[in-house]
Amino acid sequence: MSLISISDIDLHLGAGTRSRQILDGISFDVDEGQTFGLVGESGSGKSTVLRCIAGLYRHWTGSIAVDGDTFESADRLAWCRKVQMVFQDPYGSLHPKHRISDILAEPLQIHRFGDIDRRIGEALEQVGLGGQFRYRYPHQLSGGQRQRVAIARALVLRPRILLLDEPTSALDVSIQAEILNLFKDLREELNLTYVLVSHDLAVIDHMCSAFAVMQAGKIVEVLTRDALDAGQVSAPYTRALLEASGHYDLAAPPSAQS
Amino acid sequence: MTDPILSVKNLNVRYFSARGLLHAVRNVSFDLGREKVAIIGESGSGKSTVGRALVRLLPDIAKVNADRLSFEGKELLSLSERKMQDIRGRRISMILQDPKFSLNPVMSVGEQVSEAYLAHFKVSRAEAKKRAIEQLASVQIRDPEHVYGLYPHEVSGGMGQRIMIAMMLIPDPAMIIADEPTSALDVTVRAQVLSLLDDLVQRRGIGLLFISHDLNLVQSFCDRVLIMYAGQVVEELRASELHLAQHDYTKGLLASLPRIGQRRDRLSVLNRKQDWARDLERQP
Ligand SMILES: Nc1ncnc2c1ncn2[C@@H]1O[C@H](COP(=O)(O)OP(=O)(O)OP(=O)(O)O)[C@@H](O)[C@H]1O
Ligand SMILES: Nc1ncnc2c1ncn2[C@@H]1O[C@H](COP(=O)(O)OP(=O)(O)OP(=O)(O)O)[C@@H](O)[C@H]1O
Ligand SMILES: [Mg+2]
Ligand SMILES: [Mg+2]
Repeated sequence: MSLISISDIDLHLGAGTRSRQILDGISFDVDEGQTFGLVGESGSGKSTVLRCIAGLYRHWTGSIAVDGDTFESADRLAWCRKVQMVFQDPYGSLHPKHRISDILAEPLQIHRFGDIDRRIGEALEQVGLGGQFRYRYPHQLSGGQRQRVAIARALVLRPRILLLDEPTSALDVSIQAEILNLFKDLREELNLTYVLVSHDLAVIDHMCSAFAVMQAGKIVEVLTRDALDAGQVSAPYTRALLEASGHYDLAAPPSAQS
Repeated sequence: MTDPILSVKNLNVRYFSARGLLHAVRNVSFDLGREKVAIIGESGSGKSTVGRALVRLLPDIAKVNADRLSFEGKELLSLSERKMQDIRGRRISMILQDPKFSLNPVMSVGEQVSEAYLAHFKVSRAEAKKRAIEQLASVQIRDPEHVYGLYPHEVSGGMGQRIMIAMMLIPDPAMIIADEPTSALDVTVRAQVLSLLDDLVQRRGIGLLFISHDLNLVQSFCDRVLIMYAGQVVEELRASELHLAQHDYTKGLLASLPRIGQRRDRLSVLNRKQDWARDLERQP
């Protein structure tokens, strides 16, 4: 049975006459231990899908189940402990005036965990940061270290699922390699399951066994990594993505489509 | 190369801040002709500082010197601020990473293009508006009349970037400095912006300095690549020969990239050597 099962999610955002349909019939399943990717053009709804799974939006229709529990029937706090999110921006997502120890303690306090000190130490160790980082502020860390703190914050509650929204796109490629390796190690060690959003097909190919391609609120195609490597893509948008990804084709400038 | 548009020899930039002195750019030398030259390097390596030094847009705490910083035969460092402003507006354009910060949030994007037009040509407002709409169309914006009236927060990242480019093209620049112009864009929009820039180099003979940390992109889009590390250009290569890099830093960067179809369990990570930051020889 799949760990995450999403079926037929519709979501509208915006009030009154400005209301727009943002997600249209989103369905996919993710097995335990798998990394499932989401790619697609800017504004196609990738972050919104993650927000729905994380419970940050609640007014969608359809069904989202994790480990057999549906979102409606589950206890909110329990859901949140199971499903954690890591955001794109390692600068914006950490409170600038809080020490790293406070940032990691906050979710533990909300969920009334004991033994907070030990848990913080453990999470920092899991992301490869030593105890000396505890008392620093975010501005005293490099971009890669900040992203590690953001991952540690997601890990302190011992979730089963991490939702990763462009977790490396603000980082240099050398730091990206460290963070992607870390995700792979953590997946093994902690038996995690990931949903990963990225605009970089090579990152998706490296991390994910399968991924969905989104366009304008819909999933246009679900592909396995093997199909991608063999170039077996069918949706025109996926092909454009594959062709534009990682390189610029001087011979064939793209057609305008604003 | 015959008469480069820009020639830089031993450019140095030092920041004197409360935290002390930082020698952010060290003896950087390069020429730019009618071509696309990339500067790549990690965050903090000095790429933007080089770009800003060329248009003299650094804060007061920055001290700039160079043996040569000549643009179209003029020595930029010895020009008056007024002359420099003139060059900045007319001959050198700069595209910044985040268009939303560069556009005025309380003015419609079309009016901003019109204003740019009025600043350079003696025409009526009606004429400026007409030209502005043409300019928007020329950067592949569909329905430019409609987009003219939108405010910056109402346009997507890719559109914002193209509007910036439309504004930049009005004065007919000889050189464009593009500081991470596409990192905020998704690949399909990115391809459109690049093809616009490419077109300018091919058809108008503009020199493009392209600051980026996207190795794959630079390899296929640019003609030459300067690799910066800790303020110095540690290696310079033809873009098509990036894979022949000799410097360990460049090799390390290339090895750390995931690539479609080359499956590896782990990506290789950079093993920094102190040696990479040591002073290189100055150009004579
Ligand atoms: N609060 C909101 N109210 C109305 N529309 C919204 C709201 N938040 C997002 N949207 C719209 O929903 C759509 C999907 O946004 P989302 O952030 O999920 O896109 P994305 O695929 O993550 O894009 P990107 O790659 O740029 O991050 C966009 O068109 C966006 O403008
Ligand atoms: N106004 C400033 N005052 C003091 N130091 C500065 C200032 N601006 C930049 N620096 C420092 O100069 C060095 C080079 O910065 P620069 O912005 O040129 O790097 P970059 O290569 O463009 O990095 P990124 O990829 O992050 O944009 C960095 O160490 C930076 O901290
Ligand atoms: Mg998003
Ligand atoms: Mg920069």
